[in-house]
Amino acid sequence: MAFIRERQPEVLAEAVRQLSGCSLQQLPEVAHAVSGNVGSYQLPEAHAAVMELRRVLGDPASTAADVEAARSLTLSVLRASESGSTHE
Amino acid sequence: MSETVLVIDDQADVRQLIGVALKEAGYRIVEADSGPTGIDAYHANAPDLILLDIGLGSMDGLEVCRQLRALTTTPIIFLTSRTDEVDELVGFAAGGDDYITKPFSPKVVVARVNSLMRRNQRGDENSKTVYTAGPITLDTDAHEVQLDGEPLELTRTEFDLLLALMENPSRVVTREALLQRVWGDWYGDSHVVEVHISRLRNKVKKAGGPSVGVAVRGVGYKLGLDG
Repeated sequence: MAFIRERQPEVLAEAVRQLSGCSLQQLPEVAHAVSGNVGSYQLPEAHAAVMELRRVLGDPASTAADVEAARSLTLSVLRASESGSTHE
Repeated sequence: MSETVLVIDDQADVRQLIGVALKEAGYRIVEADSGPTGIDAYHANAPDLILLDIGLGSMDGLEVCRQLRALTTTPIIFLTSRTDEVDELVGFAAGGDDYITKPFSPKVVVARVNSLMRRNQRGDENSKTVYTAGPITLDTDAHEVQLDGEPLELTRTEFDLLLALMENPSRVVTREALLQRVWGDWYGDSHVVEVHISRLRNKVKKAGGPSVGVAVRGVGYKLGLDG
C-alpha cells in the first residue's frame, strides 16, 4: 500500500516525539499506543524496539533507570529507522 | 450511497490508515478522536459500523461501547493493542461484535468490516420470520428477542448465534457452521464462538431463562432449553 510507505517517516517522527516527550508515568500508555501505530504502518524493527520497551515497563523488577535505558535504546532504533526511511 | 464507518481512535495515524483502506474499499468514513466526540459523531452520522479503540483517554472504549449499546445495535469492532484484553472484549459485558488487535493489516480491517456489513445485509434481506422455542421468541424482522414476553437485549453477534441455533432446534450446529454463518468468510480464531455463546447463555440465564447454546463436546452447540 503506497500510502503506508509514504507515511512511514511521519509515523516514525511522531513516535519519537511522543516517546521522548512524555514523563515516566505516561510512558506505559504512550508506548502502548505507539507500538500499535508503528506495527500497523509495517515498521517491524521499530515495532520490536517499542515492544521491548513495553516488556521492560511491564517487568516488576525494572527500576526507573532500567526504563530510561530502555527508552533511550528504543529511541535510537526509531531514529535510525527514521533516518533510513527518509533517505530511501 | 456508501455505507458509513465511524472510526473512534485517539491516534491520528491509525484513523488515517484505516480511513484510507476503507475508502479504497468503497466506504464513507467519519472520524472521532475521543469517546465523547465519537458518541456525537454517532448521533450526527448514523454509521453502519463502528471501529472503536479500547485505549481512549478520558472515556475508555468499553465505556463508549456501553453508551453506544444503549442507543443502537450497530456492529462494533474493537481495536486493541493488548492481547490480554481480548477475552474480556469478546467474552463478557463489553458488547462488541468483533475485535482487531494492533498492529493490524489494513487488509484485515477491510475483511472484517466487509464480513460484518454482509451479515447486516443478510439480516435486512431476510423475510419476516418469527422463531419460538420454549419461553424465547426471536423476530428477525424487528430484530427483537423476548423471554417470556419481556425484551432481551442482545448484541448483533449474540442475536445471529441464537438465530442459527433456533433455526436448527433439534440438531447440533457445528462450530464451523456457526463461524461461517455468523462471521462469514472470516477465518479467525474459532475461540470467538465459544466466548460469544457463553455470553449469550449468561444473558439468557441472568434474565431467568433456560440454558441455551449447550456445548456438545467435540462437535458444536445445540439450542438446549433444558432448564
